[in-house]
Amino acid sequence: MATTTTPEGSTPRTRSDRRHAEPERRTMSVGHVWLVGVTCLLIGALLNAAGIRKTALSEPVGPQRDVATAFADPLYDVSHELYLDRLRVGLQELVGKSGEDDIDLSLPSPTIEAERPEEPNVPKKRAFSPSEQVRLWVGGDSLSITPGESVINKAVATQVIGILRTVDGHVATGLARPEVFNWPAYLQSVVASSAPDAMVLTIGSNDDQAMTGIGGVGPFGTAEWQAEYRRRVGGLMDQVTGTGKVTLFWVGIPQMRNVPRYETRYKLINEIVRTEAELRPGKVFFVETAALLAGHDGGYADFRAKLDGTVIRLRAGDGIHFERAGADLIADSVLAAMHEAYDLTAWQSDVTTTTAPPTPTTTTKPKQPKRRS
Amino acid sequence: MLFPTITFALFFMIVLPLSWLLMPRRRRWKIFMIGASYFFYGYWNPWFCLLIAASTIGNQLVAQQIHGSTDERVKRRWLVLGLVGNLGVLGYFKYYDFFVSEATNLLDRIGIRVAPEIVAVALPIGISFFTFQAISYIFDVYRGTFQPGRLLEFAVFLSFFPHVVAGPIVRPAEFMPQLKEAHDPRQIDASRAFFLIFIGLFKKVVIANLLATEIVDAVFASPHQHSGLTVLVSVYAYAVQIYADFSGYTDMAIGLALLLGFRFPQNFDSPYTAESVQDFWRRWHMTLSRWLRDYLYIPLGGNRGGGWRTYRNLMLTMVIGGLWHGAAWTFIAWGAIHGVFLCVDHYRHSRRIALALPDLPDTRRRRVVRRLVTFHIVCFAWIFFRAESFEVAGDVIGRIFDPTHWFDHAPLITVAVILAMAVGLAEQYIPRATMARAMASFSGFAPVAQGAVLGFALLVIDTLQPSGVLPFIYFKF
Repeated sequence: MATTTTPEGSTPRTRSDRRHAEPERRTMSVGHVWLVGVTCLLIGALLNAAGIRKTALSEPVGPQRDVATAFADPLYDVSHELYLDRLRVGLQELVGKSGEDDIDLSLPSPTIEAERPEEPNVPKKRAFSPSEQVRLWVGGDSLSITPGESVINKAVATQVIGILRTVDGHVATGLARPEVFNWPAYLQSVVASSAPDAMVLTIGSNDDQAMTGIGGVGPFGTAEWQAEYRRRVGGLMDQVTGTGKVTLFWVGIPQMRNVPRYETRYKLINEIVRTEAELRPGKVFFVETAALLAGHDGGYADFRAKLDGTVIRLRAGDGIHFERAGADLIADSVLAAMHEAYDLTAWQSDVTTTTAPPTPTTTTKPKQPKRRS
Repeated sequence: MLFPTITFALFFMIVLPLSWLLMPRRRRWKIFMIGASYFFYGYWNPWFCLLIAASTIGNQLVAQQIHGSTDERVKRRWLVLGLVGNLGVLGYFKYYDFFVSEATNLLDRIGIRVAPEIVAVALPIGISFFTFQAISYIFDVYRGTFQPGRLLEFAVFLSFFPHVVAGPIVRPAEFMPQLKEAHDPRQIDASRAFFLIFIGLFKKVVIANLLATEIVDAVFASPHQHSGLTVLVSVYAYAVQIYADFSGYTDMAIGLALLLGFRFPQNFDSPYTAESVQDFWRRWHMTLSRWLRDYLYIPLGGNRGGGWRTYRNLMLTMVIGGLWHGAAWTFIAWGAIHGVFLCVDHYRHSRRIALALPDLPDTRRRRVVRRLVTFHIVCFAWIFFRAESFEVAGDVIGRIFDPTHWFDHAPLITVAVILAMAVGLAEQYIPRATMARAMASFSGFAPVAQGAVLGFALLVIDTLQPSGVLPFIYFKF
């Protein structure tokens, strides 16, 4: 413990480095190193107890989560009783991250009539123009990020779609685990604060698990699970589109390299979302992606040859996410759905008879489809 | 397993005392450390452990054959076999998709239509790093500068968990002799190790992640969406992000190894204070630079053979160095840009010598200008490194030089982004003496006080980090 060590040399950064020899440091025994480590982890755990509790709750349902919460819950209680958690709360307020550790388990239920009307009330197609653009929000789980970027690139080229923000991606989230991220509550705040006209949402690929939160049920796939998931999907759809101003474009889950997982799990989730979307015509559009990204045999494909023979890579190395070419295909489908939902071209005929279109507030440069090297 | 996770913290707190307990019994320690390292590496995908095990056995066999032979031709054959094996494995896992799809497209352009069944190959994490270490092992044995160790020693060298996934690229002569040294469990340079670990953690988790999520990813996804100023700031931000990400990781790796009693070579030395591109490569990813120098540039002929051969060797080395980072033309372009500027540096230097011109006075103003010019050359090259295609790189450059959109709305340039960039750059200018004094003062604290200070550091890091731990950029290399 009492011995010292001199620092290892490298090029001096400043003149003072060249002038002064470095002071010696006291070395430490392994027992003391371990003591430092344990003290650090203990104090760090007490100070970050709220974050640890949230992380523990975010573990997949099962023994690992049980063990994690069995440790995290009393840790949080101790931290709270000793007022140690206040430091984190104060620091979060200081950096504008208030409420990040809050856990909201409530999820809305559908508000459309249980008895589905024979002829549903389909909203009239709204027309947009460069002077009155569609206010577009794009977000979801990790599968939303690359296609969302493509959607934004292509949407801007239409001149009638304005982007509210960059892709609002929240990795490893969905409807199954509101304690990890509560999408309905979050989207409600987005609608209130940003007033979007169109929302492109990609969630579901993390939902093939037991559900937690109010109404939580497991395991995956049972009749009870399906009923609860349907309630959550429908509830979110109604909450987002309830004001009548927002149209929701829900992007489905594509095929995965793990074929059994797609066939036994994601197909079911897609089916629930698709049927719920069909109950809300004109308000919710389901964007199908499974066939879109399929190979020539109709199954999963990493690569595909285009009509001109060029080979494009559709999927990332993990067999789940997308390369740019695959994301562009999804974006084309989303844009097609938006053309179905809105009148995005009428302004062009108006312009030809009157004046040139006004300059859009966002960028105007049309983008060509990209191909990653 | 990722360093900045609770899982790793618990793993390390178990491995640390056990490692020191077993260290006097060398053989048991080696088996234990191989087990721990394979557990760490296999945490992502246990099957990849087979790859690193096969690499260990194969390279040890080659090294022993080279060492055991007196015939130069036989030695050379074994070396070639080892190189082909290592590069073949690396090529299959890392470049197969790229080469097959590019070859198909090239044939298509000249009218030959082929439709190969291309299947994406999963890239084992850290394969480039441990493959380069294995190559240096057999190369050094071939050159006679290093004698092969025992299989267990080589297995520890290749899989040692602090460096297995993202370096630093350690030489056998640096690490394997340490396996034979006596390590005193009472003399750990803990304060330096803790500084490295926590500064690395801050750089990675706060600075790199914040810049990635707040500005860089969004701008490089759609540069034409943002003002010229935002795009320019995002290029600077990426320069800081990649430095914070990679140097943060290797700082942690060096610190963790130090706590286990092992010394790793330095990997970064304030790279954005470099005064030329050549100087930059003496400070950036230093273990890769010297690997490329010793196992590629010098075998190619180095600067022997005159001007053009030197330039050719420099360009080849940098282009291959670029390709090492990833299977894409943009990485090759990044390497080529550095190669061109290295050639320019070399040409200017050799001209001055040829004309017998005296060195320019080393004034403060000249140093500042040289640093600024070098930083901007490096940033220009980073555009190609980060962009997913030449089209995106062109969009980024075009946007920066498009005056009509220079001062458009810039919501991504926030106080947090500016602060993160400032801290990331300023960290490289902190006088080493100041850091040394801080470490010396810290080492004088009682262990519990040290733990308390580090516990508060964890609070700051965890609160400031963006939600979710993003993987290190250099994992995919």
